[in-house]
Amino acid sequence: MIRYDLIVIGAGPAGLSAAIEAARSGLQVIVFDENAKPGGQLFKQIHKFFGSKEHKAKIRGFQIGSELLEEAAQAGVEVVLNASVIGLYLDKEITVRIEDRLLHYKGDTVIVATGASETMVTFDGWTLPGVIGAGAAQTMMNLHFVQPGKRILMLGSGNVGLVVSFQLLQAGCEVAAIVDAAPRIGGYGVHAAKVARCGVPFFLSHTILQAEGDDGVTGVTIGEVDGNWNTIAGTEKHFDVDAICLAVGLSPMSQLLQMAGCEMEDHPKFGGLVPTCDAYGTTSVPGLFAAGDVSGIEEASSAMIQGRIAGAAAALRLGYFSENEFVLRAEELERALSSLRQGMFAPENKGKKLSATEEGCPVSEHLLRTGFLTEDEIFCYPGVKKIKGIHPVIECSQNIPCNPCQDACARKCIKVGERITSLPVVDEEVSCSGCGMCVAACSGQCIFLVDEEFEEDYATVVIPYEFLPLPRAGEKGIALDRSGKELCDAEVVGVKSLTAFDKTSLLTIKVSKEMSMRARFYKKGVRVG
Amino acid sequence: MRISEHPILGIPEQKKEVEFTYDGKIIKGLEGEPVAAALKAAGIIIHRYTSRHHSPRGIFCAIGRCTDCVMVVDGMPNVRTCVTPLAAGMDVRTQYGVSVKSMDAGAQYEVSVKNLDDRAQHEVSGNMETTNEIAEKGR
Amino acid sequence: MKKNDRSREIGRFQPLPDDERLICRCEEISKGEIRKAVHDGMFTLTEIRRYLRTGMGLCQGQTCAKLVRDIVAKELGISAGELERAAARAPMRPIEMRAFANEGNGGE
Repeated sequence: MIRYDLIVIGAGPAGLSAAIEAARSGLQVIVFDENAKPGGQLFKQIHKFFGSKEHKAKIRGFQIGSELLEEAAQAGVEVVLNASVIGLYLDKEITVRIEDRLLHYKGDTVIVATGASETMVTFDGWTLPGVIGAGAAQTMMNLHFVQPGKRILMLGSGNVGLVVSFQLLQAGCEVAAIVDAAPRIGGYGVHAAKVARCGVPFFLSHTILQAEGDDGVTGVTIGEVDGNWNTIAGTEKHFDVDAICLAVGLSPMSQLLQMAGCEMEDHPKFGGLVPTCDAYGTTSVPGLFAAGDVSGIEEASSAMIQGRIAGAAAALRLGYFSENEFVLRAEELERALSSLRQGMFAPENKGKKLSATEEGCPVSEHLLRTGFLTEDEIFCYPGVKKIKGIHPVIECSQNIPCNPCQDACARKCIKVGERITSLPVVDEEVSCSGCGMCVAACSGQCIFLVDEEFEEDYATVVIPYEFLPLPRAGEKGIALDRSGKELCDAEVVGVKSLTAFDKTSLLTIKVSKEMSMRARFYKKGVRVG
Repeated sequence: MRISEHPILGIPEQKKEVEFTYDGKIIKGLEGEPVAAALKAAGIIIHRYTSRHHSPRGIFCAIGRCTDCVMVVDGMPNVRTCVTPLAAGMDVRTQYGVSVKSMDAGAQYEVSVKNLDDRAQHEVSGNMETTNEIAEKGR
Repeated sequence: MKKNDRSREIGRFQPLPDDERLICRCEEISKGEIRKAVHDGMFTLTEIRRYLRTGMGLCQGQTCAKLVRDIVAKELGISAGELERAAARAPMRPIEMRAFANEGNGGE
């Protein structure tokens, strides 16, 4: 049996962060992961992350993954791949299957960072080939460059469902609809708005009645549900699709901790069964810690900080950190973590219906039911103002922990302030240079630059664009509104793709003046009628 | 079905094209990609038929957890194709229950065991009974 | 609430329209079979597992554990949290007997 100061189970965002933190303090660390590649789910995350600078905001998930791997290598962390930990026993001994051998290791401390597994729902036909988890869709398209289907129906409007729907569109697939049994969209409004403006319809209070097909999915029927989750007769709707994606939630993969004898608790706030932990991830078994989704479902950004905290706690336990050093480090990390846990999507607000933002702006019921704000509603928010000349229009209507737009503006015309969940405020007194940095920096893609004085009858709108083929300047096409409906003719007058924009291109479209606050997307083609 | 260029990820890393067989037919795929990805790119979505209801199954989780995508690979049943890298010359077969043999009374399926060594043959018949099950039974 | 209360009256088995729907994908166990098993006296998840083999297939209950738990709890008229948890034990992943035969060997 081999002994290590610290054994980390799982090389995802939490596990790698824990290993890095502990190894830097001098612990001898080994990480086991059952997959062929480290990074957990980070390498499938191709969107820009939320948060602030310290949370690696506006960096795409897979790039954060690469950074973590580099850090781990520098810190001297040993990562063993294709290594399934199949048991965690008393005294922190583990059994690992590596190739066709079963090996025993012992850790003076063990951090379990096994992440989560997808929760599934059942419906008639749910075992048919073509019914897949949202994670499967991400794996297929973002890791292996294979489309999971041509036309897909998404079940689930949480952040996973919304983000994966957008990724399906980026992979060149069609998304027939996003369906959720809940009466309101569960994920960030900005994620919903991104897919809505591409023309994807939302069906809230709807559920899948049947996946159709004999040898694989050929279609799907959905129906509306009442307050008691019973289907309302006559509300059935059919879609021809070749894949159905399930994104109904995640559950902590906590079996190893249960097996090790940790005191466990089951709470919807955590997404399922989790070990009872203190703020440092310490479980009821001395020397055994939990970090990341396994201790409660959150975002990868929080998992990375939790991992660092658990790594520091392990270092303290083994005497590599003094009590003072630990307190300082933990305070810093906890501050970063608590800033992520604020706002309308904070763990304690799970399932709550909020009617106003922290600023007192009304929460748009329209956004929560259809995925987009109405033209009248947008002026309720401090990021939307009537200003002469080119200026940002920030259609950010929910308190989410995110502030890259503030840092992006060199002229300081966007202010989020101390509290990173605050809605961004556009300062009318500061003139906008039209550089577009804020448009590209916004992880929610909800910033547009509008210039109503471009020409006498025409205005320009700068929109973030992450699709191929990239339109060319001079190209004529159609402007779409927030719901993805064809609005008016549009001409592409500028296309900017800078390294600083990190793969988000900026399209400047010219539309008739009265459409400047309605045109929010562009497609090639000629308008009919 | 393959994505030749992605707006964020760019052009996929060049991988060698290799041939493998699916139920005896020669198919092309990319070396090192999961067998399931190669099959999906070739339009194949049925990986196995279940033993009890004889219903088709394919990719479900794509990360080696759900075990729905298992097939008989090089004579070995219950191979999770979503996490098994493709190699040139692989023999990939639809799995029926736990073997390559169809349970359809009328259907004729060739059982390719001729090239298997003793150990693999043993695994075909013995399959992968897990200790969980044994532990449960033993109590 | 007392766990595993055998005297609990749960009424007679009432068929439901979705009884034929598969819950455990590996062992192909339907919702109706699980519900019937509860009425046959299997009040805990461990008993259900041994009786029907739910969660005992290749995936080791990765997909169906939560689904089965919810069905059993509903049938017993209790919340899922009140139901005794199924044991978590090794191996957590499917593993060939061959690997067990090689237990402890090597390890650098």
